[in-house]
Amino acid sequence: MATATLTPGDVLRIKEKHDFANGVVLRVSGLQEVNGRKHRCILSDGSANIRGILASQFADLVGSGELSNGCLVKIKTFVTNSVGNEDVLLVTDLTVAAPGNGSQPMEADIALTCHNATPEASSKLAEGKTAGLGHWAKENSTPMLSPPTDFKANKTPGQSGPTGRTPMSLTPMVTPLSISMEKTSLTPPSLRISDRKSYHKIAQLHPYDSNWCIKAKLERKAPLRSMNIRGSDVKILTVDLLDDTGQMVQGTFWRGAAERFAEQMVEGKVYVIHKFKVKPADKKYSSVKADYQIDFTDSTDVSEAADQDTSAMNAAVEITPIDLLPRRVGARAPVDVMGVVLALGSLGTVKRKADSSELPRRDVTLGDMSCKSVVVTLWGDNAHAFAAQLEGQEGKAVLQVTHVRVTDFNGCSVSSLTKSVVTLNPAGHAATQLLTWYSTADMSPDRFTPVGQDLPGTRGISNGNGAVPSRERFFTLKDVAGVTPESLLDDKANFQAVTACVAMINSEQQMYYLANPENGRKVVDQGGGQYAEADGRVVERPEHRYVLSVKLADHTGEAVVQLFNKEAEAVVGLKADELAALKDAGSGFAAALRAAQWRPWSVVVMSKAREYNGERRVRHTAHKVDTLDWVTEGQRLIALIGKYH
Amino acid sequence: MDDPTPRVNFEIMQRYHGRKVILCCQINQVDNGQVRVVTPDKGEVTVVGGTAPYEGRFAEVVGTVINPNTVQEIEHTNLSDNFSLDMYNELVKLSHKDAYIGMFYA
Repeated sequence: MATATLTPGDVLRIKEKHDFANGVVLRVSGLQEVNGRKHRCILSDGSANIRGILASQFADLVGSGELSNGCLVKIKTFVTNSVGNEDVLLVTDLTVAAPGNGSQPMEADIALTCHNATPEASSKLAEGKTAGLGHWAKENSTPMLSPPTDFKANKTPGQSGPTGRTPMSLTPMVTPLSISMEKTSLTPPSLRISDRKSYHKIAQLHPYDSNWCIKAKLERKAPLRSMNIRGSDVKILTVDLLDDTGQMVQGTFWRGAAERFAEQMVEGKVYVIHKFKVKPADKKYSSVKADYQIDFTDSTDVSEAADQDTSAMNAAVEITPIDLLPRRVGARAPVDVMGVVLALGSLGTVKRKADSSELPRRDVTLGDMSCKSVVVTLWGDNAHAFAAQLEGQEGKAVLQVTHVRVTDFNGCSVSSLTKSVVTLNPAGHAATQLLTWYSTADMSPDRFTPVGQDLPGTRGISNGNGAVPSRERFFTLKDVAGVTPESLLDDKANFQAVTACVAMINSEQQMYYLANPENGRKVVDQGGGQYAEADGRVVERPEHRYVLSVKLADHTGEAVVQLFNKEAEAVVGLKADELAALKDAGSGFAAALRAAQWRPWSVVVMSKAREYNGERRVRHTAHKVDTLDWVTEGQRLIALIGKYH
Repeated sequence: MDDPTPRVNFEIMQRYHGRKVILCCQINQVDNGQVRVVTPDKGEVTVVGGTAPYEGRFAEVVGTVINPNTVQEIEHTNLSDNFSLDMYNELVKLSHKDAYIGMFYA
């Protein structure tokens, strides 16, 4: 039999459906078992690759080690398929032409990890690694470890020294293996080091691929959390990763991986992470400004990067101009601000409610070229930051604060977070530009308008009369429906003025009660035409008073709102007594209810949280109902529209 | 339907010389075949060529702009008195703003 050799170009010929009379010789790598007894692998002709599937009849060959990564196989019969835009070679007949030996593997990082206690799991990891790496040809290889022989894995490819490198001797930088690998080490073993050279950039990530490899700094490791999913407690670890393009992305580890990496990963260190899923970011839960977020899977591989240089890995600072800050009010993702120092508050402290500890705080007013200013509240260490240097620097220095939250306090203000970074006179064009503008335009602190001033819905320090709803904001029933028990502090009421129609009045409900006309208090039938209040007072002629529940609807949603006498009278157009009479008479009642439907009203909805059987629910009441004067309403809307641009 | 027919006031009308426009207006005086109207932004325009009668205070005229002060009527609709010319003017202005024009006259 002729010595089997690889012929570059064969893969192309395979893809072009050429015939190979004598079969085709390819090198195997990235062997991975898939369901049943089939194996996936990468087949190479020395220059190009194609994905391969080895039929189950070859499973034994793999198991025995005859067919292993690096070996040459002569494939006599095969079928090619196109899956998506990938070609796959289904092998139905092959022989091992040359065992995997000494030849330069094209893949790197065959090193097995030892932090996984089970041998099987770690061998799977190794397979996972090599499978993914088929993507990049000509990777430089890292020194390899072969597993210690007390591994009982039956699926480890290349158990018998596949790539032929003498194990153990070339591993200066690999973490020491604990020989008895079945036992978990007492101290969490450190992650193995990876030396790969080609990575994706975080900006390249998208959900339509899963074979990603990134090298990033662990910017932040959230404390290990536990979530209850369908009855079982699942541990979750959220991390923020930052790569050398300055892009940041958030990722989540689950279950075992979460616990493992919570211990092993260190903030500030650079890791190489391979194979994970990318999905669109859930803006509700992500505090990082990114389009996508990462889900680390069981096959995700994490290793420390050999190159721990983080000089390039600084979160790209994206300054939001001060006049655009109002748009970010309430957004979860933090922003970065920069401006000329206009005013310095004095260093003060705030007592924490929780534990009465004192928290330093300092307000700094910054202004930028939009001629708007904003107050930045610095907490903790940041409050002390640059305290000395900032003295007297009004108008002369530029302050940049990253990762701040925008709130609607005093209209619009900015508060620093734990991960905020304060920089005085940051390097770069923008800061110098600001200072030049300030001096040449002859600006002074009082020529800046606070950005929150003319904002709608200003929540100020003194907000006395809570019953006056902010007509400055456009509320819809979606906002009303969005009021949750959590958003209502204690028993405070929330008022929203909306424009809506009565969509439905449930005729089965009790719509009115008998009451004393003088004070509206409920009276009970004593029999014999006598009615008495709760305290015994007798009322001669009670009247009906409304307590009517209606469903309001507008173009954004609906809400069930309760109307009391005055408001219900307006909506129904009949006094409660009249409606009661109609109901008793049996006719005209339904018609009256129908007539009340689908007229527009200007309603001030009051929302309060109440306890019902231990459950906190929100109740909406119509605080005020007015006929809709569309001209005034139109003017109000025009004014609100004007605020958008 | 090639070009959309924009709603205009006196000022915006000038940009649509020769084009078909919609003008809601307040009737000042009806002469034979000619109607003098006030546009939403208080300009004065003469509507010519109308045949159907004008009733009430307000009307919506669809016609061609033949000169800065005259519209050749194609048809018109009488509007009820429950009409606010100021509100309508605001609508006309907003609908021609760069930010919103796409919503109205694409």
